Amino acid sequence: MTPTGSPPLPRVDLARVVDLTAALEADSGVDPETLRQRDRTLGRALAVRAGDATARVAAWLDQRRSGSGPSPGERAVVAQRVLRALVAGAGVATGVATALAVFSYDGAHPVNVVQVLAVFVGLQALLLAATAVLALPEAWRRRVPGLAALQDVLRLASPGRWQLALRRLLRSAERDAFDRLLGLARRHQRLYGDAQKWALLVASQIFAVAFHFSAVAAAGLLVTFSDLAFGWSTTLSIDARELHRAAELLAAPWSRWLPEATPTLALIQETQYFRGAGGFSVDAPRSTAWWRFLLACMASYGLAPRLALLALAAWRQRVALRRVFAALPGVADLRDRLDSQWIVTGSDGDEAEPRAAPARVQAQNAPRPARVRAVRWSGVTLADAEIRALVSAALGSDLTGVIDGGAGSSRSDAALIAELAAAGEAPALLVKAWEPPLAELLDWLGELRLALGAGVPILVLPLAIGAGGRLALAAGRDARIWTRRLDTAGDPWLFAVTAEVSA
Amino acid sequence: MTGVPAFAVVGHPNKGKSSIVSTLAHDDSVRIAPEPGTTTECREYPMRVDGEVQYVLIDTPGFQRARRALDWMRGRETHAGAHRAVVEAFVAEHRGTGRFPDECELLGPVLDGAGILYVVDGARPYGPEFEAEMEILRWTGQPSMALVNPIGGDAHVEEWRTALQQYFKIVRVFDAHAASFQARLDLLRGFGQLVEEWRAPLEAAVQAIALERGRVHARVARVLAALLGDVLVHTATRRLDPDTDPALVRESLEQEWQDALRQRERDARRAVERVYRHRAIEREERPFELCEQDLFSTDHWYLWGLSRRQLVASGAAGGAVLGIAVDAAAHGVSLLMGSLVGAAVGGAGAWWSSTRLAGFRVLSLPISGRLLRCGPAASQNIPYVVLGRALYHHARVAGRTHADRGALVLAGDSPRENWIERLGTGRRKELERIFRAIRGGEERIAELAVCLTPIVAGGDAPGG
Repeated sequence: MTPTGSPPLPRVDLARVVDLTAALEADSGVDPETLRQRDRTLGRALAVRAGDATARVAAWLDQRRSGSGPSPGERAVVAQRVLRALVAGAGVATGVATALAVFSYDGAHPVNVVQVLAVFVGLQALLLAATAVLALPEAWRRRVPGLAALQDVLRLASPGRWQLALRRLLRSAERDAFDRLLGLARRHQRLYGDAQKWALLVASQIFAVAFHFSAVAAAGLLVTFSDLAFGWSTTLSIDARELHRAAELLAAPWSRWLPEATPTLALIQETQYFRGAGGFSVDAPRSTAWWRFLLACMASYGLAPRLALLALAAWRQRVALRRVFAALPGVADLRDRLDSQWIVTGSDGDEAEPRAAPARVQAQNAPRPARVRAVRWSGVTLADAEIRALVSAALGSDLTGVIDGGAGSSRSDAALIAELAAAGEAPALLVKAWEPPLAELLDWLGELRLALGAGVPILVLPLAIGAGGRLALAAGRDARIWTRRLDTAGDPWLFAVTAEVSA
Repeated sequence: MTGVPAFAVVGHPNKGKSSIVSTLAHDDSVRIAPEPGTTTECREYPMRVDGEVQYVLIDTPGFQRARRALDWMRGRETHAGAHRAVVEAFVAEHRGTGRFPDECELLGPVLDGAGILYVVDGARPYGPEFEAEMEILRWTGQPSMALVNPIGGDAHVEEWRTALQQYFKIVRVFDAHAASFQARLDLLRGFGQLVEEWRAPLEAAVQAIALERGRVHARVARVLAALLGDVLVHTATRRLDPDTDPALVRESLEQEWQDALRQRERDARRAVERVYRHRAIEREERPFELCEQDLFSTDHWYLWGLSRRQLVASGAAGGAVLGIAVDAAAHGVSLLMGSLVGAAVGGAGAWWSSTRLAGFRVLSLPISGRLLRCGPAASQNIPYVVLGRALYHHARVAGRTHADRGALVLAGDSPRENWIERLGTGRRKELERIFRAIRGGEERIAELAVCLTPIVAGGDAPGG
């Protein structure tokens, strides 16, 4: 595509439909964010194609198709071409065989014009009517009673169906591709129905065109390279004038510019014959004047309508495929990804794992020292009397004093440690259970342990806000967090005293 | 202040920093846990539009040694103008030493120019231990905003507001677990108030997110349309031998049919959640029960897979062709009676013979049999029941923040009347027409998706 001028509309063929389906199915398992990023990047590169959704999707598909080897869609198309060639071959064989049978002349009986017209005009009219019934729009199937069943039956009898049997002749790669195509059509019957119908009709018309073309050719060869004699004979009560009128009617399309291909009344009268007494007595060279009329009939009423139907079916198939291409499940999402801004708000990488916690000591029940000195840590608002009652209830200990700490400078923290060490009693820290235990506190507890030495219990009492706003020993999640965190300090004489433990 | 706006979400441990980041970044991979110290390193959440970064959110570890850090800084303080330099010196001296790992980590992006979003928990009381943190942040000189995140209630919001206003010009309340979509956009816009140059990129980002929300509704509508399309036409079939009693397989076939529809609904639920970038929602809900009456039909199948209808049609067509020959022979005097009689005789013959094919076998294989079919659901209510459940689920997912990690409890079915009445007559008729067409075998999923888009958008409106 060049930046100047609008690009040509992409041809939506079977290969593209199959490949698009395969690509969308492959994408269905991919993370949506990955898809959005990839497709938006492609979509922005295709910006010059904005405005034609189908063209954009086709261009996207072309980008996705790998360059190595034929794609599933291209294989399916090859399979379809081979099958259609086989169907055409069957048409040629049938056409030649039919022409040889109908135009057979052994010198005893002439080629019966009535037979030729019955096979190549009358029967064809019936088959054309059947094709017309098959081609009726899908919507009519629901409106016309019995039409759906009739169409289904005609479909079964259509030469297009022979492809299913002929697929055994394909190479395995092409057969697999064709089978995938059939599976696709079965899975998305509502979507593919129309395209499938026209594909079937295309194959049928290929057979019919091959049949008529080969029949005309075989008849022409017989006329050219053998001496045929023509006559007409029927048990029906048709006289020469009636046949002449019918012949004039049939020859109407070409009678003006090809008058010699219209049988005269005299010819018709002269070439009527009867078997039995008298038998075939027409002058053979005279009767050969029929051949132009018969070949013209075969070409006009057999070959030409089929060629027209083939063109119509091929066109309708292209239209149906284009519709399928635009409506495949996932195409709307793809267009959304191509045309919409790609917005990302999440992180690029994985989150770092939390630091490995130090080894936990075996949790023990808190000792009950006779006397403790309380520390109101970091602004815990509890009066001395309340602390005395709480310590007595939780530990059964006497309170020797209350000191404030944990809210000032490092110097005041150090002074507090010195004071507690000098007192020589077990310190009982009253902390806010709703605030998490910080590393700062653990650092301080470590320094306190150094000052106190081993064996002196340090009791930490997390307090929760209870009924009426009163502080009480914590229980539940906050208490467990404190207990676990203090356990990780590695100090066997450091204890969390919670309502859970004392309960 | 130049470059892409960046915002460091900082504060005490366990105050909801990660929740706020998770909600604003629509990212449920952010680790949120009750244990303090879950976040150990800064993690960036860049907001990109077509790859171009509009702003960056930075989740940080909480302060662990704020008082001691401030002590260190105060020990080197000369005058107010040197505060930032002291903080920089603090980070430079302690980075990598292991003494203040959390403070060094969280101050890094702030010193690199990020705006400060200081987060506190409005459900817990204010305490003096926070002052050292706020003071350090003030020393950095970066633009800042305080966010009160009422994680477990708003009992102390006003107390916090009063305290925070002494340190921050802007104080906002933002519930990271329950914030509506609009509240999230408003907060992002609020970030633009910190620095004048940030206002335009933040506004552009907000516009892009709002537009994206509309596209999300269309994506959800496509998911729901595909679900309804499947529900309307789904059938389960089983071929029966001539001797099998259909009653014996009805129950298992109906179970198969119901299970397939339930699985389809679950798939659609998961798809909707993925559209909203929820990757790990656990759902608690009752699977839907379809109490359909006339679910079953029995059809016959014959050689080549023809149904009885097709067999009769082919018989009638064959009879008609023969009849046409008779009409032709009679020069039309029969007034096409030949073809009519031929069709009737051919059709009747096919019907009669079809009942006698049941016993025949070719190469030990039966050439005819019965087909028991379950579904599709004929009730006019079925698509509305499924759609009602889907819209209810969608509304809950759309209103859910990415910080909310609890199970999504879908309490029963959404009452049909509530949302149907809101549809309006025109929309209802349109839905009915499309449902009818899909039942008739037409491909109308795209049309249904277009019809559903405003309904889906309406379901997202109240909660955001």
